Amino acid sequence: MKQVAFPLVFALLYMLSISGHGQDFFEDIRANGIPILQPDSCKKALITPRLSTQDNSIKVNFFKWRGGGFLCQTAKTQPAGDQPDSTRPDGAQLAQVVLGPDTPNPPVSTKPEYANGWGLNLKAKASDGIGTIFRGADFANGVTLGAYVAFARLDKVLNGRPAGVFTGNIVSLNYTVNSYRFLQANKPVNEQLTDFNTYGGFTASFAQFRKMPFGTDDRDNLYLGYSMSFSQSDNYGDLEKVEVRNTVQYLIGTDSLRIQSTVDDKGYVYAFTDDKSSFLRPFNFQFRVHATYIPKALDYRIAFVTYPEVNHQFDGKTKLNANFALHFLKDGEPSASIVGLFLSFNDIGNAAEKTQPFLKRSLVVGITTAWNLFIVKK
Amino acid sequence: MATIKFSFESTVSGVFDDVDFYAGQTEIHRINGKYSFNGEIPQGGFLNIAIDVFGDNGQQIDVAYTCKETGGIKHEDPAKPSVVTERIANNRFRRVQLRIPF
Repeated sequence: MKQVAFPLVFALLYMLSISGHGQDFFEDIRANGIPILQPDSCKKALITPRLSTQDNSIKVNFFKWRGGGFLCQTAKTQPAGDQPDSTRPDGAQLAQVVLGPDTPNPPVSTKPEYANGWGLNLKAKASDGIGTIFRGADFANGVTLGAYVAFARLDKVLNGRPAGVFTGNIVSLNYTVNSYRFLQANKPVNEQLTDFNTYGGFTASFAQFRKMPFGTDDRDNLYLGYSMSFSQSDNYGDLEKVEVRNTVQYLIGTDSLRIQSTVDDKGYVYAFTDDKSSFLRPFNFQFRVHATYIPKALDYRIAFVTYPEVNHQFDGKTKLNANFALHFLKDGEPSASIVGLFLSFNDIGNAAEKTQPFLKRSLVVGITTAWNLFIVKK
Repeated sequence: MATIKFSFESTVSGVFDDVDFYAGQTEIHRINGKYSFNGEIPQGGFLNIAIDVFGDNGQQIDVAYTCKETGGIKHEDPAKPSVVTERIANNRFRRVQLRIPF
């Protein structure tokens, strides 16, 4: 079933895909980015399914700008003096423009513009592969539901010249429910395996980013930003994982042996706890800075991303993570990532006090990919 | 000097932060995805269109347009017939200009 489900999901998303006009900000290896719609029409909303191989998750975002801002130009009215006097076949009222023999165009507007929008997100993850998210009645091991609002400002002058400097602020609130089970090695054998238990918690975050020109003759793209979040997290990710399978051995005749494993629809993964490592749910404050560089020298086809972060758990542990990514971008559309490759060094100082060598406990490599879909609201 | 009445319709395609569209001195706003207006211009005059596009450097801009008189005669910029394709080259900004003779 698992082998069938993933290709089916992939094919379904691919068939539904349309050229992207959305952009994920602060995306990380777990596909925890925040997509907002690039302006095309405020009559459209963005739906972004996103896959992450790192935590076996699928995320769907919905985002829409509110009318009235610069990102919703249809909400503007024609200026006084240009009263509509005719109608297009689709019913739109047209402006009447009276021109001289060679009326020049005005200089570029220098007035900043503002907009705001809102979004919803749903993320589901599994411990045994993305395909298991869609398996049977067990929807997923973890589900996050959240909402966010975005405020944008576009400055049209930089160093006295026409330019586009886009600043965005995003405030989000998420509620996550995770379902875990444990192998408790410090208990008697018949009490070691627990069933799934659910754990819920809120995450509140604020992020700010700026898109600006950079480099020689301002021909490169640079995105800079930071984000802060406060949450009740847990240390499930720090615990060792073990696979537990119920097997029965049959002796057939005198010299052949059959080993039979019971299929467990809920998977085989258990988190390992003992006297030294226990399951904890501390509050957590995360601060992350984010930089994305898209050079002209590579024809705007590759984005270099880094986002170091500090996670302070209120049980006294502070973790430093160093994260890097390469995004391969669509030709002629540098804001659209086709696929992202991530490399992370988690908990560089080993606050979790794991006994494994550095690379084994810290290095994580992953891929995310996304499709941007639109709904046209009439 | 005789005056010519005409209609103009255009789409500007790509991923942008913002687009400001001008016909002469008048800003034209997008309606249902199109920049459209009706105009009057003296015979022998030039229609100047400016499209100010804000977005990522490297972003492709495709401008498709039609401009025709009430009688059906079509006009276009001889140097930039539809569809005009340009890219934002620097400063995350580009002004695309059309100069259409009548």
